[in-house]
Order: sequence, then structure tokens, then C-alpha cells
Amino acid sequence: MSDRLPDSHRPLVPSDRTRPAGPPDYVRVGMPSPPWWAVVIVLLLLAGAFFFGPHYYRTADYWKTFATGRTVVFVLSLVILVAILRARRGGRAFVRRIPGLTAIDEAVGRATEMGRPITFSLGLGGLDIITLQALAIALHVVRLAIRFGTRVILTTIDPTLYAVADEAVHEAYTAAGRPESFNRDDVRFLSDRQFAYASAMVGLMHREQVASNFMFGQFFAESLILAEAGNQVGAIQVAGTPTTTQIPFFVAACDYTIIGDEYYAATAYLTREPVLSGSLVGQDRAKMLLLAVILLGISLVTVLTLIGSPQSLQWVKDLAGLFTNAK
Amino acid sequence: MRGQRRLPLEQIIGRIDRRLVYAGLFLITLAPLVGRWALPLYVTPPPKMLADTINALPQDKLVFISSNWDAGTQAENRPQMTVLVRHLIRRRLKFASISIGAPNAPQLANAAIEQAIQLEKVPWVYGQDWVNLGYKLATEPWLRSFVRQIPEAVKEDWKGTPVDQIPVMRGVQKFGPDGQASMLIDITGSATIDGWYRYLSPTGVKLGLGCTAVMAPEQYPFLDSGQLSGLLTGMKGAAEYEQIIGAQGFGTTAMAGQSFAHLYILILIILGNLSLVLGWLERRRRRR
Amino acid sequence: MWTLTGFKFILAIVGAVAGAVLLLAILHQASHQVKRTLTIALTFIGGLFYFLEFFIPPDPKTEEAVLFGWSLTQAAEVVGNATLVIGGFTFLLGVFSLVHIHGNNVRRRRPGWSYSLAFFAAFLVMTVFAFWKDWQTWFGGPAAPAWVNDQNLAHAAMPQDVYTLLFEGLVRNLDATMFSILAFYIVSAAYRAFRIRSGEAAVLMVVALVLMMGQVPLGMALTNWIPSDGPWSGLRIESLSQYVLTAINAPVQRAIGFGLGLGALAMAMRIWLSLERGTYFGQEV
Repeated sequence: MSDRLPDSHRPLVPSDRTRPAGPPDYVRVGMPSPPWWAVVIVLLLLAGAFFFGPHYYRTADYWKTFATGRTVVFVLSLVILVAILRARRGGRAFVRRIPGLTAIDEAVGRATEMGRPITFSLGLGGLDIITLQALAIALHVVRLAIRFGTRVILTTIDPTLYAVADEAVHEAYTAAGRPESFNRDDVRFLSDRQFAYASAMVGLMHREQVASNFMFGQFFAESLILAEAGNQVGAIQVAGTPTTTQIPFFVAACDYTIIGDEYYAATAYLTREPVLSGSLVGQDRAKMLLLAVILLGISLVTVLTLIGSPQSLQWVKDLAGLFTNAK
Repeated sequence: MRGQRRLPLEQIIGRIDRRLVYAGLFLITLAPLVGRWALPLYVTPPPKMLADTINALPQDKLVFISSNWDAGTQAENRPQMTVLVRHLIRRRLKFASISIGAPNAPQLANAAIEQAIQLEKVPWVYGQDWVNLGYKLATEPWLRSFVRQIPEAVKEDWKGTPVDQIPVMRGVQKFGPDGQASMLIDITGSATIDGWYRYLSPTGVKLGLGCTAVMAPEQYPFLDSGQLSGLLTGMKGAAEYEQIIGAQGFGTTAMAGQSFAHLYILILIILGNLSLVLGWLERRRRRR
Repeated sequence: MWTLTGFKFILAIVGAVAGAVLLLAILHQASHQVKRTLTIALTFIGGLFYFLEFFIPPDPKTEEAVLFGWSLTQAAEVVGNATLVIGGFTFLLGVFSLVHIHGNNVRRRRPGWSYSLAFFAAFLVMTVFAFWKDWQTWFGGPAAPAWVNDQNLAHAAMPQDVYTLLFEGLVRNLDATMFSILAFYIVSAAYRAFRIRSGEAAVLMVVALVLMMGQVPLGMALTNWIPSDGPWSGLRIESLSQYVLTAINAPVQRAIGFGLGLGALAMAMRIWLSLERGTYFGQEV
């Protein structure tokens, strides 16, 4: 195995010939993703509920209060899903360079050179979408670190997440053919209280004198406490969170910060898997759709205000109200 | 002395010891608190909106205060809670406090409410005029049932008294224009307001928010869209509100401390930049 | 819901445990392929439930989502409770992790092992007094003494017992202490971060200055001389800061919000349909 740092475009999966011995079907089986039938079942159930359901589904009042918001979410989901399903047939999307994600390799490499461990904080979230994304990034880091023989200490605040993370990291070691190198103490549940978790993390970073510190997931007031502690021990720090209120703190104290929807693009960026890139394309299309609706709304209101037709203006405002008050 | 090179100014500034910086901050924040200095304050629109909304509430309906702060954020949230309760009492609006953010929030809320009643010097009786409904685990199903039918989700107060034996809660069923609760004010140090936006906004009930200063920027879009009827930003929000209703409290006093701390940070930022500029000049001089 | 008592209750518990053991035994024997297919199917069914519960519009009167006469909303409450129960059990796993790590520290006399002893002491004391306090309510038996469970109504706001002392007197203040450390860290972080190295950094700093000054009376006093109702009132520092918050910050927050919402939606769908292939288990990333 080469000790050179991998660049993000090199496939991280060793070819079958170089792969160390391990349970073979672990790696090659992959996931049979639910094909069209899943989508068809869902659509049929929804259509059935609508057409054979109670009569109130088909009244205008009903749509004013209940259905608009759901319809918007449904349309956006469809746009994303179509893009994913199309991408499965092949083709790759261009994903711009995200420095924070490219820096992951650098941070792991630095810890390897210095012979010191890496800490990875999964934030304050439980087993939810945000934290699952953080776990996906954590597993990428763990897999890289396994190849270089570097230690990663993964910490969580949620016991359910701890159980999942422990199992996933264990499997990452098994898949890499090194189940014996897995140290159960390196996946840790620290506390379920915010500041107890923060102080435990600070202590951990100081004791272990970590070379790199990753923070991905949901963060609140403890973000700066963690980031400053990492800074004090001189760790290279990469952080990413969808919690917008904490981004300024991470930007001030970390070397790289992943913001906004870059966070959700991480797995697509790291794996270059067509399905995930397709999901990114779908997200972009959905965003364009929203943008178009906003622009249309703004121009309608502007034009109608200028021309001065109070009734039609009220009509547009009512239409906008549908979205604000949708349940 | 020969041989011992004097450290250039930019390096002295650039290497101020962390502990020294921290000690400075400690003293500068403490001084105004001990000396009880008060500085004049100007009221910004978001707290004004909240006060106007409360002033327009109907007398016969209940106001909910969702008190979700913990010891950690009490410096910011407690003055907000106290001043809002004082305003409600002045308007003779009955209220119920309910916590979904932290298990020990009801105790802190109770202390703040009792302090407000004391400051207002009005006989405001527990059970008759206000109630503390304690902590509820706000899962999605709970939030939904709370919005659908209040007594379904809240069966007893924080000391275990059944809700139907509490006069102030009698007949309170629903939120919104045709309900019995006219407003919910969330005073919070965590993301509890998201649940209220999702489930309470559609009922048409007025929503107010008192949050920590860090959280405020995220809330401005909701102020624009009308989903929020007013916003108190950290301790400053509390201080401004104290000014609006003419009730000086902890917020106003503590703002002086925050004021000086901000000034201190500002000076440090300037110093940090000064060292950068001096270093750059020095390098340029050497190159010549 | 069903309420079982006496023999039926015990039978139900024994049945549930036996069923769980049998299920686990079968799962343990199954091949990876079967396990994986099962995981995908369960994820899909679990997601489908919440999907339908959200998308089937609720009855305007009861506000419950109904599918073929079956109230999904009521079922969601049961599913929610089940999730809480599972969460409760995993808490034991968390405690096991803590005990394992600190137990190893003490056994091997690793540096700082005395702190691990402190963990055990705190853990033990808190557990004992929390259980003792409510033992009678939960399990019956003799009442706890007043110093363990103070029920004196005069002390309602602050009971004088050991649990309250530990929680209100210790945990809460420790929390507050950690939180207040932020004030110091923000100073050192700002001192380091706000060095103007580029044009963007300069803009960032100017905006930060306006906001910081607009936040406090001392800053507001700087532009006090501008009349607050004249044509130049927009130049007062608190007006500028409000302008930044409402005209610049709010749209940006909204834009980021759109991106994040869509990102979360896409991620949720990828997990629901198991399209996030190889990320957590199986294939390497």
C-alpha cells in the first residue's frame, strides 16, 4: 500500500487483486437499491387514498389550508427522485471543488505524519438526517485512517447513534481486512448533556494532543468551545454544519468550514457515485424551480402594483398566503 | 543591552498572552455590573413589534409562554422572561408557562415569574391568573396533539394538579382566532421555535420569540414573513423591552457590561490588525 | 390501546422476549445478502409509514391522516413511543461505553486515572439518589427520608434533598460555567480571525463592527447626534445594523435555508430508498 496521500480523484477502493483477505461478499454485494417498484407502490397508495378517500379531499377550502405545503414538498421530492433515477442509468455530474472536503485527506495525512490521533465529533444530533450525513463523512475519514494506520476517536452525545457508529466503524475495519485493529474505546459516548459533552471533548483533545479534529453534525453553543480547544492543541480543523448560527464560530476558529448545502453534497463529492451526483443535480433543479416561483411572484406583485388592479393583486397575495399558512 | 534584540512592537502585540486577554475581559465585564452603571438605549423595531402585539391581545384569552431556557443561557433569557411577564401582568393578561426545551426549565421559569410578580407588586395568584404546566417531552406526535387540543396533551401542572382543577386553564382548548389561547411566546436557548413554526403558525396564532443573540440572525426571515410577531435578541432585547414598558431591570444594568466587552473586543481586533500592518511595513523596510 | 393485567401481562412480556430472542437468532444465522435485503425492506417500510402519514392530507375535523379507515396519526404516536423505548435501551449501551473506557483507565492506571474514579463516584451517587428519591412512586416500598426526597411544600421551589443539591447545585452550575467560557473564547477567536488579509476580510470586519456597535448603547451613542426622525436617520449605527440584519442577513439566511431544506430532503430520500450506497455499511466509499 502506498503511503502517499491520495488525491480526491483517485479511487479509494483498492482493486480486487490488492484487496486484503476478508469476508469477500461484504464488499462486492453492495446495496440492491429499491427500483421503480418502490416508487410505484408509493404513488399508487397516494392516488388510492386521494381518489377513494373521503370527499373533503376534493374541496377548495381543503386545499387552502392543508394540501398546498404537502404538494410543494411532493413536487420537489419528485424532481430530486427523477434526477436520481436518471443518473443511475449512467453519466456523471460535475461537482465543483469544495476545499473543506478536499482538506479531509490533508488532515488525515498530517495526523499520520505526526503519529498522533484524530478526533471526530458527531455533534449534538441524534439519529437524524444531519447526523447520518456526519457519520457518512466520519466513515470516510475512518477508512482513510485505517489505510494509514492512524487512530480516529469518534465521539457522540446520543446513545442510539453511538450503537450505530460503533457497528459501522467496526464493519469498516472488517471490510479493510483489519478487524483486530478495531479498538472499542475509540468510538465513545461521552455524555448526553451538551456542556458535559463539550468539556469531555476538550479534555480528550488536550490529553491526546490530537493532530486533526473534525466536527460534523449539529452544533450549538459548544461549537466554539470545541474549535478553540482544537486550536489550542494546534490541530488542523475541518468543520461542517447546517446549523447556520454556528458557522461564524467555525469560520473564526477552524482551518476549513463547510457551509450551507455543501454539507449535504459531501457524500456525493467524496464518492463520485452517480446516484449521489444525480441527487445533487436534482437538488439544483428543485432550487431553480423555487427560484422561478419566487421570481414569478415578485414580478407579478411588482407589475400589478404598478398597473394598479387591487383585485388581481389581492389574488396574488392570497396565492402567496397559501404557502405561508400551509400545514 | 548588546546581543539581546528588542522584540519589535508588532510581535509584542501579536503575542499577547491568552490569559491576559481573558483577565482583561473578566474585569471589563464585571466593573459596570458592580458599579451598576446604566447607559441610555435606543429601541429597535423587533422588540417594539412584540410590545405592540401584546398590547393588542384580547383580555379574555390566555397567553402561553414556552419557557425553554436552562442555566446556561439564563443571563440572556431570564431578563427577557421577567420583563415579558411584567408586561403581561400590567395588561392583566393571564398566562401559562410550558417547557419543552429542558427538563429543569420549569423551575427556572417559576423563579423568574415569581420575581416579576414581586416587582410588579400586584396580587397575581397561581392557578387563578397563571399556571406552570411543567416540562413536556416534545415529540412530533405530542406537538401535534398539543396544537389540536391543548387538554389532550397537557393533563396536569408541574406539581401534578390535574388541569381541570386549575381555574386559569378551564375551557382552554385551542390556539388561534377561534380558540382560547391568543399567543405563544417562546423564550429559548435552543431550537424549540422550529416546532412552533411548523405546527402553530398554521393556526394563525401570534408567535413571539425571545432568543439568545447568536440565534437571532436566523430568525429575521420569519419576522419578514409575518410568522413572528416580534423578537427579543438576547440581553439587548430584554433591555430594550424594559425601556419600552418603562420597567428598569437586570437587562438594562447588564447591557453596560456587554457594551464595554464589545468595545474591548473592538480594541483587540484593531490591535491584531495593527500588528499585521506593522509586520508588513517591517518586511517591506527590510526588503529595501 | 390494549391494557393487559395479571397473567396475561406476564405472558405478553415473556412472549415478546422469546419472540425477540428467536428473531435475533434467525437474523444472526442469516447470510449478509439476506440481512442487507431485510435492512433495506425495513427501512423502506418504516419510511413509507411516515411518508404516508405526512402526505395523506388529514381530516379537517379530527386532523388525522386516514388510510383505508386506519388512522395513521394515532399509529404515529405509538411508533413514536416505540422509538423512545428503543432509545431508552440504547442508553444502557452508552453507559456501558463509559464504564468500559473509565474502567480500563483505572485498571491499567493510565495517566489521569483518578479522574476516571471521579466518574464512577459521580455516576454512582447520582444513580443512587435519583432512584431512591422516586423509588416509592415507581416500585412501592417504604418512603424515602426527607433528606432524599423533600416533599415539604414550603420548599417547593427548591427542595432540600441530596438529588436537588447535586442537580441544581452542581450540574446546573457546571453547565453554566462551560457556557460562560464562550465569552472568553470568542475574544481570542475574534482577535485571531479578524485580521484583514484580503478585500473580503475587510468587508467582513466593517460589517462586524457595525453590528457589534449597533448592539450596545455605547456604540449607539456614537451616532447619537444624528436626529432619529430626520432624513439622515438611516445613518445612525442602530439603523445601519438593522439594515444589515434585515436587508442582507435575512435574504442570505433564506437562501441557505432553501439549500439546506432541499439537501435534507434529498438525503432523507436517499436513505429511505437505500440509495446512499455503501456509505454506512458494505461497499467502501
